Amino acid sequence: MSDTGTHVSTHSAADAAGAGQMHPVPLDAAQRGHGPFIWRFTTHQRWLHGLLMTSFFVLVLTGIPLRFSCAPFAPMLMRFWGGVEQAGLIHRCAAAIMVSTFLAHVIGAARGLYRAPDPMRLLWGRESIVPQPRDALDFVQQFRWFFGLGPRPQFGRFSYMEKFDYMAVFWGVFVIGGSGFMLWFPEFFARWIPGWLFNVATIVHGEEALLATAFIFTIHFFNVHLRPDKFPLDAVMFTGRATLEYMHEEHPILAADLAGIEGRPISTEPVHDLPAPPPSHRSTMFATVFGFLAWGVGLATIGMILWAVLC
Amino acid sequence: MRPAQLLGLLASLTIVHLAPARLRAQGLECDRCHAELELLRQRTGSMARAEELLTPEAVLRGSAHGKLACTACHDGITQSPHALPVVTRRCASCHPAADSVWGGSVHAQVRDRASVGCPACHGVHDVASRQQLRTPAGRERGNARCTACHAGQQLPATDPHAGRALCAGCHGSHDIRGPELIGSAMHPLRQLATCGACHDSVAAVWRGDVHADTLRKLLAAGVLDEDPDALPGCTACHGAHGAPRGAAMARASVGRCAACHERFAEIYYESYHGQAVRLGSQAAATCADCHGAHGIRPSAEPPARTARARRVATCGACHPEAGARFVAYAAHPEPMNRERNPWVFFTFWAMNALLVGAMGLWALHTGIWWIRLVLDQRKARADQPRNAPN
Repeated sequence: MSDTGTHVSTHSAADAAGAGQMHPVPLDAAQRGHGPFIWRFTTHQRWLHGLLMTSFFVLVLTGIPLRFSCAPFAPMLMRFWGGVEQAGLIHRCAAAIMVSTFLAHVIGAARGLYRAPDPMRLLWGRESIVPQPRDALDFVQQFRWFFGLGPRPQFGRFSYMEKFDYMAVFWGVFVIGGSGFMLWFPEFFARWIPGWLFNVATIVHGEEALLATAFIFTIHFFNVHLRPDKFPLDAVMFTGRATLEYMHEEHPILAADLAGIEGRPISTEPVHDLPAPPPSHRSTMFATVFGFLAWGVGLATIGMILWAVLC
Repeated sequence: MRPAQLLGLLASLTIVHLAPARLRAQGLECDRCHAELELLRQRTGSMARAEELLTPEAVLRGSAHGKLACTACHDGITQSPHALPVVTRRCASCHPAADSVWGGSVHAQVRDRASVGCPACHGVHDVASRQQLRTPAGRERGNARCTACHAGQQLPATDPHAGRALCAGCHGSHDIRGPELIGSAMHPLRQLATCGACHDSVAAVWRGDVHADTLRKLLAAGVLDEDPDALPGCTACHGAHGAPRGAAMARASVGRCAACHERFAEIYYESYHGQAVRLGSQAAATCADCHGAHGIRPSAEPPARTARARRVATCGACHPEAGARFVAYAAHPEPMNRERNPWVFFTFWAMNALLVGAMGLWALHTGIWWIRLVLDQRKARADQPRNAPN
């Protein structure tokens, strides 16, 4: 991260957050460094992520006490939700929101693909979120860099970690959602499938949800928020924008394409790769509070799981 | 004589005739002293002693001994006032059977006989009759005698028996023993008779229960020194004091069954039913919801509620649309048991392999990355002074 005092350009983070006075390094990693802000996520994408994570938190916090029913925190959490039956109802409501969010994304993505002048760009190449052989090479290169055996891999619009997170949602919705629906309507599904599959579904649902919880609240949180060069927060998904320097750090191939963007007019509409106005104080505050709340609750949940597993 | 005077005489004669027999016996007028507290106090010089000796005739009249003369018990007295000390006959002289039975009771082993003798429970002049003990007031008075010594053993108000049963109704009276002793009315081997005295329809069903088989087998084998807590009598499930009622009993059954059926309880808690019940669900199935209560049979026997042929009906109580496929669900799955639940076993291992594998790989990725970044930052900080522009 660069020193904020030396290169203060028109749209820099220091201006945005400081409102006239010099501000220390912003909490939000996406607001650090110089260069104009760039639109990275559309409003539609930010809403989808917001709904996905909110429903995910509710699903985890209503499901964990059942999965670890003998843990001391389980009755406390159930009391918080107003009893097992009510927690079950809330769990199903959150599931409906998550599945709706997922479907909204799939339909939106299909529409975007249909309308795109060059759909192949979205399906393959460095603009695409689809995992490709290049990502395996990046993964290996990342480990080489870890051990000082080579330079840091250069990512395009999406790193292999982001692609994994994205694909994991598909896998998770199918596996956890599918087994969840089976357990929600067992009488209906039992018209076609034998009852012991509900035993299988119970295990699949619980273990896969545990994996998702453990992954999101440790690996995802570290990758995007907690690693030393981003700590304590990266709110790019909440505000939708990041500085050009951030883009150079995280997505150098994409950032190279953005050369000369400083001269282009600022777009108040969130359109990919256009210069953006700095996030307002209110939106920064909201993103910070929301982000801290999320990782606070997430790490507390990991603590609860470890408590239940280890004792 | 004027009519009013005649009426008064008639009234006083009637009162004399209908009034309770006063404390008298064979020409003695006991009540001349024993109904007068102040006189007794003067004679004995002690108010406490006077109160002991005071015998209001209403108390005696209302007791089981109401028709007896004073000298029936205090038989050494021939004149009034009488000489001291007064000898009182032992209760056993009229009640030899009760005395003999009492001799085998736990109370007979108490060294301080005065605290556990007949009067400790029955009282002195206010000995209750059988009929009186059946009234609510009589029950309350009788139970108060027990709890006077056995403090803290009162039935909680939530107990279904509170205010309805005498302590002696369950524990026995003259033959009372610790519930751990064979022969106690509360020993599991005798609970069928004791509890069944009131709950006869339940007892009739329970005679066909698998737990009754167990008790019969133990009796036949002469295994009588079994720990009574391990014997499946009525209290094994219902508990003793503070027994839950109705729906609460069905919820509580899980813990009670688990006390003996540990393995099944453990795997039941692995199922949704068990997890929800453990966290207070009022809807999810308990042991009793599937296995029944007093007519439990092993699932291998056709009459069992959990027998293959009856499962659609049993599960259907909560899952009305349950069909033949639905009931192939394993209510007690054992993920570690490959023979019993092969699919559950393989799923469990596959899912755990995925969990450990995925988390392990990413933890490695994250951990090394962390170290790399920390080392880089340290290096940058160390390099900074040399490279600084000024």
